[in-house]
Amino acid sequence: MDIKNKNLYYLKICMSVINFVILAFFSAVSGYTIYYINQNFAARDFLENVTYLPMESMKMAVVTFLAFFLLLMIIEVRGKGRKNTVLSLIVYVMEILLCLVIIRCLYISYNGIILLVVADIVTSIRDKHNRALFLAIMGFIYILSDYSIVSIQFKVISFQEFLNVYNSKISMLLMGAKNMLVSINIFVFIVYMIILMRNQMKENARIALLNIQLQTANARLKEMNVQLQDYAQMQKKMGETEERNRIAREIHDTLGHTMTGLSAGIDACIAMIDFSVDATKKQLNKISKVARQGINDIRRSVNKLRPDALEHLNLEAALEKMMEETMEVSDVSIYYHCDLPVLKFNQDEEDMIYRVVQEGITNAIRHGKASNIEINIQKENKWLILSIQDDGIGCDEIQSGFGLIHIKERIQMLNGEVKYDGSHGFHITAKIPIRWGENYD
Amino acid sequence: MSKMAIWWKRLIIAGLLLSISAIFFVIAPKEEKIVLTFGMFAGNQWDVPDDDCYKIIDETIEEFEKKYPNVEIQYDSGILKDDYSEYISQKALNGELPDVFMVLPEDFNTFSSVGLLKDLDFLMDGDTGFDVKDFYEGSYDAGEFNGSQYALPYESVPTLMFVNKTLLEREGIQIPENQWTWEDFYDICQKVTKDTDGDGRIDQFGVYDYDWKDAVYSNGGRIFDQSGTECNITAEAVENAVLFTRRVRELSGYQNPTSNDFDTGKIAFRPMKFSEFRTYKPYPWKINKYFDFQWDCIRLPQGPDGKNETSMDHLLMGISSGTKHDQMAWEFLKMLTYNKDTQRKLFQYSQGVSPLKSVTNSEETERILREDMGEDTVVKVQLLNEVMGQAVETQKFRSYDTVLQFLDNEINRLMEKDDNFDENILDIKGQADDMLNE
Repeated sequence: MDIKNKNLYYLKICMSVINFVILAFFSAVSGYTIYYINQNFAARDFLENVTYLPMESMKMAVVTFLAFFLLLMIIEVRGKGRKNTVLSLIVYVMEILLCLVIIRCLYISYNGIILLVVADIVTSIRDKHNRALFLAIMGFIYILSDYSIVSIQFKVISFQEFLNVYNSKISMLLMGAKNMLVSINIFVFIVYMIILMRNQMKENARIALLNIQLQTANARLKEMNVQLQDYAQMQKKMGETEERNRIAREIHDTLGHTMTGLSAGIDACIAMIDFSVDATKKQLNKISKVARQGINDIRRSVNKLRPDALEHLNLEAALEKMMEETMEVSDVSIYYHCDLPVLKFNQDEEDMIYRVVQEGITNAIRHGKASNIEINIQKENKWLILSIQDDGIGCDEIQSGFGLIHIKERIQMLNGEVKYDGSHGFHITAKIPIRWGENYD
Repeated sequence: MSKMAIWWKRLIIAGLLLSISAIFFVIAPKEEKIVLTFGMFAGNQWDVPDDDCYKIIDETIEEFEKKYPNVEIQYDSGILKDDYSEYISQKALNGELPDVFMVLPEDFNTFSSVGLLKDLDFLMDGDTGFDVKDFYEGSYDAGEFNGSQYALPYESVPTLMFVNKTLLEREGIQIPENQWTWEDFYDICQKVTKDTDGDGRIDQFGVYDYDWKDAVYSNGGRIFDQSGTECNITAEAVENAVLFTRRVRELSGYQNPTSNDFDTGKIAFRPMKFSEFRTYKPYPWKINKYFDFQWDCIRLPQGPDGKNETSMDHLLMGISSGTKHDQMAWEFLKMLTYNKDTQRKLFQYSQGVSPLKSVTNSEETERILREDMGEDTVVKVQLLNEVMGQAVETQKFRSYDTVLQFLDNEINRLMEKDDNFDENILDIKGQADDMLNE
């Protein structure tokens, strides 16, 4: 609880205490008046001049205070209660009834108890509709709980009728005391409301300020976002340029160097061949070495442009990783089967296999809407047979989209063959001549 | 902060517990046996000697406790009639009102109006063995206020006309019939009003204490309208009654008879309550008063403008609005007011008439009256039945007694004056109306 609510809390306690004093005052006055009447044998005269028989004073005091403390308990507990519509409804009804009981017990001569409840309502009930309704009901009771109005319909003794027993001086004194207490209660209520209102106004101002701050921050954020996008684009372009430069540098450093060497060497051979075949042969050998060296260099350069997965993993792990990732992101199930003990080929071959599998899976999901894909890799003589079968919609006529052309191109680059079949799902069969290394003899 | 909040909470809970425990001490002290309390005064409402005032009540209580063994009935004895209103009022203010209690007529309006008395309508409706037609209408009606029944009549006392038989015989006048008129009455009064010893002063009179209200009722008039908002004294029946009363009084000139004249047998008529008749006519009280001459009672003379109705006093009994045993209280109230055995005892031990038709109009009553009052009296069951059946209904509103008191004073003063009767009576009516609508 912060400092502002603390003040309100103290004021609420203050109001409760004042109401307690008023209730006690009423009980004491009516109790003493009855005693006074009995002492003076004025009971018959008293009855003659009152509207209705008053309640037994002790009983009235007990009922009043019981209702009062129940009310205080409700007010105290409500702030903490969990939301429960039925329970809170019961509590509202009870609160209204308790107020009515107290007003009735005080002979409808005091209704300030409602102010205490109202003070609580405006701070404790969060639900807007409930609060409005409850406030309306309480306001209604407050307005109607006037002795003159109620006594038209119901016969009740008034507080004034009690005081008529005394001489005018005492009667006025007691009435004055009552009015003073009532005024104090109203005054505290007003102060409570003012503080509450001021708090609310402060809160509103703070919210407005925060709103403005938020708006400016938002605008700046937007601006920065645009900048960031520009920056990202620039970065991309820079990356491309850098890559291009790298490739250019690579080509320049390796291919350029080798080519320069080769062309210079070949020029020398041309000049030399008429004089000495041997020397030329020797020279050509050197050139061949350089050319081979160049190829190695190129391979190394190209290596740097490989797919990421293959750069860090071997082919099998890379394939498995790709399939796992695909299954994670889509509903498709991929069954992979490989006859070969080890999948280790040359780089270009590995790249090709990886790309074909990747393209096949992508096609099966994108065009075939497949849910199961089966991938088989097996060896047949010097051929590697790669088969990708899915259970998707397939197609009657093979439309050589971009992907399939790509696969074909890649396989043909390695002198392989590829066949498509779209009758039952889609089936890709690729036959690739492998330069089997020492692992496969 | 939190410390304060905790203390505040503890204070609230302490207050709550205190209030709850107070309920058990103050509001609900449990009793095992049902104790009904009964409020009554000693003696009777009509200020005649009464030796047996507790006898009927004691016997009824005994009977009731026999019938309902788990009920005990208690009452405070020795409260005088003069203190009774204050006694009941104090009990009411202290929340100790007896469950069943006697209600004096002058208290009834106030008590039912401020809510001391329980509205009996519900109890009566729920009781199939109870029929209001068993009561004389005028008596039953006395317990009604604002359309609801708040009390039942226990005993009624009509007003009759005392007749000095010795005096009339001496003057050679026959005792009037029961159906006599104002003119008969006036004639007799005129005849007997004279100076018998020749000292120039009138010493024998026609009537003593003849009240203008008695004349109004016997002329079928009502002093107020039904709702108690207007005074009717300018209505023909009422105004004639006032004028007649004045005429009767004027017979004796400026010399007014005294009660001593009456006691010594020098007055022919006097309105008299049945209770007084009932007390002083038989032995032993007959030797105390009016023993110099023969006397009897007849009905009041009838006026020319309406029914000959009789004003009547009732002793009412009601139930406290705060009673916790309303069914038992109702049974006890019924035992007192509606039980024939109880009511029959009224003729034996008390001075009034039973408001129950079947009790008053019975051979048993006839027998008791004959034994007690002597053969020759005019007052027989037939007369009582007639008078009870033609009782004036009591007019009930809160300011009834105050305004009636005012009218009584003003009209009695008016009788003394000769001039401007119409103007004066209009003036009185205006003032009374103002009082009624205050």
